[in-house]
Amino acid sequence: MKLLFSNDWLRRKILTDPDDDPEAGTPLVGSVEVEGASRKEPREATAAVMGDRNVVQLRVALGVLVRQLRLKEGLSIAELAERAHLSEEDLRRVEHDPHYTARPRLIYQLSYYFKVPLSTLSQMSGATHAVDRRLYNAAVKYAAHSDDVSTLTKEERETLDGFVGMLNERSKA
Amino acid sequence: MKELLRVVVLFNRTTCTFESAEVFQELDEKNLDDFERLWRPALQTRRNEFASWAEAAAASAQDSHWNWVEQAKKANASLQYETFAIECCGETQGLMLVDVTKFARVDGQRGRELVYIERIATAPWNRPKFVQTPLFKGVGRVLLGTAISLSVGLGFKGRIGLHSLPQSESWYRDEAGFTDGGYEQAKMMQYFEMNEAQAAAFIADH
Amino acid sequence: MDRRQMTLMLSDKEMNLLDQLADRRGMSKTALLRQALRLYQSVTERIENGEKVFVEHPATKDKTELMVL
Repeated sequence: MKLLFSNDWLRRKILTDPDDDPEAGTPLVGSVEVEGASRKEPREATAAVMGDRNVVQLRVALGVLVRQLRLKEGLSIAELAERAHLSEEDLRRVEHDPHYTARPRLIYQLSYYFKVPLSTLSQMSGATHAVDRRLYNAAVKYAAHSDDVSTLTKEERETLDGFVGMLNERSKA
Repeated sequence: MKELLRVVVLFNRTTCTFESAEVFQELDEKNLDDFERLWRPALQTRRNEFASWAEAAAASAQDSHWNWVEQAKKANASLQYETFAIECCGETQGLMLVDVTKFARVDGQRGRELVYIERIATAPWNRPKFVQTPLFKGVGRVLLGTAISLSVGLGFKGRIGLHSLPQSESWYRDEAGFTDGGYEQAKMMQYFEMNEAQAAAFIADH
Repeated sequence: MDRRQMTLMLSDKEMNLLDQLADRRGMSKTALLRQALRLYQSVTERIENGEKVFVEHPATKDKTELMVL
């Protein structure tokens, strides 16, 4: 079998490729819920083990966050779905259904698109066994102060920016 | 039997120079031993640190459940699969397993034979999201070029397909020029294909 | 890779079919025969492992089991 590319091609292309090598293939065996439930110790000392009610409250906050980030960019659900390579149905459910378990890929794509820390969105989606207490409290408070409207008021923008800023600060800590 | 296809180059990020590496068709005990002894322990340790699959994906720590040994032995006994390895500095730097009995799904080439990449992976020490100072760059590109070369050699005109891990989707879609075949619920991954023209463009020497 | 040679006698009907299939699939006759061998091995292994191989009608969804003895 002959390789149909030259080493000169490799030299040119490798230098301009993005830093991470592309990967493909079957992901890990097991669902996120199984993986999350199998963890014995919370990752952080301030972590709280989640009950169903806590998960619902966090997902409400996640739905508000995603909706407000989307509105801030002036996008419809269809537009965001197209740009982030997601299904409209899944997006609608994340925004409005706190009993919906978002798939890991969806959380990853939202994190990537909106530049919000992945670990935070994972916790807010209920994908982890334990959640940072401070995140939980901040998320619940944030959701409680947000209204379900089709556009953001100035005050809501400030609240949103403040919450996202806090999430980014926490991920660096 | 393991066969040396050619000497290629990989980029050493530490020395900022290109180094010679060898591409082999078919894995042998050395490659499987490298996976078990060098790759898997590192991946398993990091994997345990993540509370969710999404985070493990982001940190590129997913291979620990992938059983290369079992897959490679199956491949060696079958015409359905082919395996490839890249070696440099005496160690296995990349691995790839392909299935040559699958068919294309994307419009324009539906039903045509293609080389389906079951798994393509670079060693954990080469992954920027996994280690502070990743070593070699270029493993993915070499292996993709190898898959396209195999496809041409088999008479499939360069057609290849794969399911992408989330962190690589934008590379396949926007950089490498694959067609996005849509999300596949059963695998929880996005499916991509290259047609003849896209494959030719990918390896074109200009 | 070591290679060995075989001479294959085909009837007119078989040769015509080989020509047509190769043309339809956009492959050489040799590539097509090699691929047929791979597919035959793949199906045989599945059946020997106890799996069943079906073809399904796209409209009616009727399934017919493919037997390879």
